[in-house]
Amino acid sequence: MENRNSQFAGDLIEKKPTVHGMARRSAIVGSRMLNHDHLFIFVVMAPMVLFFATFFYYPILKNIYLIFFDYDYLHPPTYIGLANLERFFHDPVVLKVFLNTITVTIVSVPLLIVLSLVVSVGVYRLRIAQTAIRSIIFSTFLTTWIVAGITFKFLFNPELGFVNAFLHRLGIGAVPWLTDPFWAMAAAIMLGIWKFLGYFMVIFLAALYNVDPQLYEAAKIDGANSLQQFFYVTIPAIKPAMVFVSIVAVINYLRFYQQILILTGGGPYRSTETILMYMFDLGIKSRDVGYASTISLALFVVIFLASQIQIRVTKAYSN
Amino acid sequence: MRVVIFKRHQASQYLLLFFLASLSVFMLLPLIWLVSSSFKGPGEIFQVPFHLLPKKMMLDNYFTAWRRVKLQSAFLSSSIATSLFLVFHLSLCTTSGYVFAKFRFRRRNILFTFVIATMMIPQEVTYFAVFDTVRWMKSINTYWGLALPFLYSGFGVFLMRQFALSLPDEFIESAKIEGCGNFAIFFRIVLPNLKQGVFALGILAFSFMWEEYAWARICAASEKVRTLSIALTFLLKDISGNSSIPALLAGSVIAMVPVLVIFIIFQKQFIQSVMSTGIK
Repeated sequence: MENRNSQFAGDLIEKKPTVHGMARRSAIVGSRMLNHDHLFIFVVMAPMVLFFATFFYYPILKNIYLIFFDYDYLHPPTYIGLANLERFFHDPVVLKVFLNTITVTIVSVPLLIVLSLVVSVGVYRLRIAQTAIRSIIFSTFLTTWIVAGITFKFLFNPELGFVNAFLHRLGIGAVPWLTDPFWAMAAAIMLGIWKFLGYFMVIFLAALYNVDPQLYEAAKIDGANSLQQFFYVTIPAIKPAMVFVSIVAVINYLRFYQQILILTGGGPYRSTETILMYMFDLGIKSRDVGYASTISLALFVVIFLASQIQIRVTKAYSN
Repeated sequence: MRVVIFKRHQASQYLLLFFLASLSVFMLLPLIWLVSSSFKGPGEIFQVPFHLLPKKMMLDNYFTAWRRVKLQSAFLSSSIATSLFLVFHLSLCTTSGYVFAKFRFRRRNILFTFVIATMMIPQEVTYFAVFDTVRWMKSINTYWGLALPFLYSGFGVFLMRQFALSLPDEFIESAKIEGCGNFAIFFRIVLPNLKQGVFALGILAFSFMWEEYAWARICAASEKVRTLSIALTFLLKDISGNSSIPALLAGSVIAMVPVLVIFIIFQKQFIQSVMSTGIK
């Protein structure tokens, strides 16, 4: 390559000496720099490749390997064939925790998207104190899950909590938050929405700020009212953000763990236990790592499929 | 006519403000309860009706949380692990993002896919194998071990690449012709111009690591390196009677303070960095 370049530069000599001078110099600099570039690229990329291989790809492969083994961190893994898989498909708890997790996800995500979209459009249109309101609504996202879980646990306490005290004032009887499967789930969903609302509102706001104002002007000239503007201008314009939000939200909900561990501990009767809670219980407490790996791989597959489906559905709609 | 429209517009603005302000207050209620209760005595926490200001300010709760139940050491652990993580995460993701954005090399695209594909992997599913690796590196129960699985992230590399892409090539080219080495170019020219991106990633990374729980629970079993998230869950489990609830609530407030302080100082940048995750 370089030879041909300099030859080409050589051809130019006779016609335009100045260009030749520059070309030759840059060819020399270029070839010397190329080696330096290689070194730099290698120094930066090699540790990165090593990291992702060790901490992401190797563990997935090892999970696949461990499906066929009994392993407790202390003794070398022993081969047990398909026993883990068999157990997985007959384990009633697996069915329960997958259903719980999927229920939380399916109820929360649409609710969250609609709520945060409505709030973000409201904030977007607000001309007074917009930044202050935006910051306050966002600030709940900064509460760590552990702190949020502890707070909600006390607020939703069926006997002493303020939520029931407030409902009592309104003349509504005590709701068995956290002690009844249905209401425990409801509290968990509220906790999630409380924390995520501000975050997704900000993501939607970013998309709204990016919409070309001329689109609204054009719609107005065509006689669209504000509701029509919302459905025919805003929604199509912020669709990428909606896809992003729904994928991020689904992944986050399928990974629910410490939030529910604190709030309900998975109870009552495993009614709010999530996949990750069961997986870590098996893997850390019971040291049943082979079986826990089977569950972790199943979660990986579910999350992978969920994001693939969302991407496909979006593509189908865009065409 | 114009005046009427203006007034109607203004009225709707105030109505909107009213709704959103009510929502803000409603969203803040749990936090208001938490902060207020953290200053109350054990008997007053659940007292109905709720009083915003405690009858007697119990600063003792904070003292108990900080000293007696040793949140002090947990706070220190969280700070060390988070700082260690931030230094490495920011420098490693920035350099990798820059190389992906500004250098051409063989298999660059495959390598980039290799990196961003990890964003599809929920990291919790890797922890069983990572535990073995980190144990092999003799880093269980160390601050280093807490940060190790997060030194890079697919998201971090991706975000920094997006920021680096917007740097003009001429900058780098002219420095090269001047005879600057790649490291000098990176530190003198690239890094100062990527400040905004580093800051955005820094804020997001900080709020991630400060509340990291799942890995810390596996890696930091010993009391010495226990982080705040872990220490608080231990406190929650140990509650006997009502006596330690106020200390737990005080501890929760302590855990929130660093994030809130950073948010209050860098409000605008904080929100912009979250926005950049959606657009970039």
